[in-house]
Amino acid sequence: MKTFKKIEAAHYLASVLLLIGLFHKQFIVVRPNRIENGYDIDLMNAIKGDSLLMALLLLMIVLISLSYRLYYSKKINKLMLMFMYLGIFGMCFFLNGKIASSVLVSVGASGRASLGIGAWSIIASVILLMWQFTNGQGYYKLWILIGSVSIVLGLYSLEWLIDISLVRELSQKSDRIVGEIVRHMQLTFAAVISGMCLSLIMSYGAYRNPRIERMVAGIASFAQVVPTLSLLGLLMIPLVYLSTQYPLLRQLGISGIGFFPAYIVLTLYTLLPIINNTLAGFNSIPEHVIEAATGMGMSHRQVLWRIQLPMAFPSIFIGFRIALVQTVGNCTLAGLVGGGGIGTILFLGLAQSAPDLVLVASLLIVLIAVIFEVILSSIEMTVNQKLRGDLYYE
Amino acid sequence: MSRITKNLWIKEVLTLLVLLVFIYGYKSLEPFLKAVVGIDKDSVEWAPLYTLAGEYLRVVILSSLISLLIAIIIASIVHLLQWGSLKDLCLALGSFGTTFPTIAVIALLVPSLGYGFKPVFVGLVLYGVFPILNSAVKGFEQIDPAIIEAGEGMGMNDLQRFLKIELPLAIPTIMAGVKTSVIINIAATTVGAVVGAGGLGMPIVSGIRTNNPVLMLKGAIPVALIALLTNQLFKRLEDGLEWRSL
Repeated sequence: MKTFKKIEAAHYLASVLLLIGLFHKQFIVVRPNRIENGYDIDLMNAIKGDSLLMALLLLMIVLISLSYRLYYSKKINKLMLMFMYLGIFGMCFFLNGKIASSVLVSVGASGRASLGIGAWSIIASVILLMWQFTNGQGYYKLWILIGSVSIVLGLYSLEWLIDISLVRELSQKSDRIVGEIVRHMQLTFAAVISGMCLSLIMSYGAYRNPRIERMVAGIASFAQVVPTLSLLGLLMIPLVYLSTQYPLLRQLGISGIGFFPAYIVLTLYTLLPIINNTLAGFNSIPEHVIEAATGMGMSHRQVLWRIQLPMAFPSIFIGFRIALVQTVGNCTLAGLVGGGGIGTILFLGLAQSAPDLVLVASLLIVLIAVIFEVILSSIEMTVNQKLRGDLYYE
Repeated sequence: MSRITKNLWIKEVLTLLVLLVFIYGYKSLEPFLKAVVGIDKDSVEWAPLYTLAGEYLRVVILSSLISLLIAIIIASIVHLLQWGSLKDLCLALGSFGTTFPTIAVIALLVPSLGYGFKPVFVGLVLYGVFPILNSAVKGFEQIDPAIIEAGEGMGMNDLQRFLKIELPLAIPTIMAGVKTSVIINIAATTVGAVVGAGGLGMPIVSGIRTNNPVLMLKGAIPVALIALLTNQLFKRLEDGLEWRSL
């Protein structure tokens, strides 16, 4: 048991996933057209007779086992290991793209090749390996993310992935999808920034006065507890009322449906994480630091700007990161009320019963959330290292 | 005064009363709602509101219970194995799982399970496992080693130690995860109406689609009340657990 535990759990899981990918009967699903039911092909049958693909698969497996060996060797060269993982990642996607092209030859131009359980298992296995490598390794997470995203973009622009049904769906609707991504980002940032301003003011009030604190906590937890959809419904009434009573507001785009209600609901949802973290940050400042500052003759405002905000900054930033990542996911529902965003594509896919479109939308949302998470935690790390040098901190 | 209201559960009872009155007396409330909103659109009556509410609550409670069971079993195994990297993996998968929007999980299950309650139910169970698993793993980890040592000193074997010391001590932390999970489930079941699951989400979704505020309120008010009531009850439970552990 002891030797069993010496190997990372993630590596066991990755190996199991790899084996599933190699031998599952549904590696790829081929359909004669977009809607019709298809048939499954397993990996061994898909690459049979193609010596290039076989060699590539073999190379990938060899590289993966080599990466295990490198990971556990004492003299570990992290940069080399990182490039190796990126190479495996690229190979995995290249292989999937090529297999999709080769199986499509028999069905013709209108055919579709969707990745099946096997293909997704192999992709998941490679991603798991990369995650295990970056776990607790600081900036490597950022580099791996940049590397893998650019590899996929590169393969996409070389049109090597184009025969995967998912990618085809993406490229056919690429204009629309880019537009919705931009809209998603606008909505997310608008909500998070206004949520940030609101909750900073509210938490400063709460910090100074316990009665305000109880009120603020009530508002924030109400917004978090009531489901988004229900909140949208409840908001519709005052918004409809306002827009019918005051034509000026309607011209500004305030109505029961569309961008505005989604924006308000998302803003309300960002309150709790930011307020909680900001308050924790304010409360963590030692009493004597503030006393010293007041003793030096600083006014309330000076204490706030020069002492409290800088010292609470790391905590506030964590709140910002959580709120941003959470809003990217929550923003999906904006698609339902005509607020736009990637959710629109998801609901379109649902209405057309096109699973690939749903998958494209969900993967995009997850990818954006992961990108924000990684970038912001890297910034957090850098800032914290800098601040630790400058500030008096106990 | 505030102590009396706290002991009499006034907030909880009031919320429940409003909820019950709204659900059972919706028929007579509808003209009033229409007058307030100022829109008089007729809407199709699929099922009385209490049937919808019943369906809804059944899905939420059942899926939460199943997720709780699965998460506790997994967390216990992870804890009993005492394998650090497996614990890290579980925590990471847990936090990754929550970045997926709930509606995406449900929507991706539709091709294999069809439209209706099934994908919502399976999606909820899957999704609900993550927060509970996260908090359970953390809860087991936080236990003071001195207490466990004391238990061992009393001659407890591994199973006794787990059932009599570790599990009871981890319960407050686990309950925090259960609360998150149930709140998420309530929200997700509402959204589930998009894939044809009934429940209280149905009036909201069709209200949005037909631009009918009255219909939206018909679903939105009970859903909001149920969510608030759940939150209040969990707070009570937390207070009780805290009191017991002191």
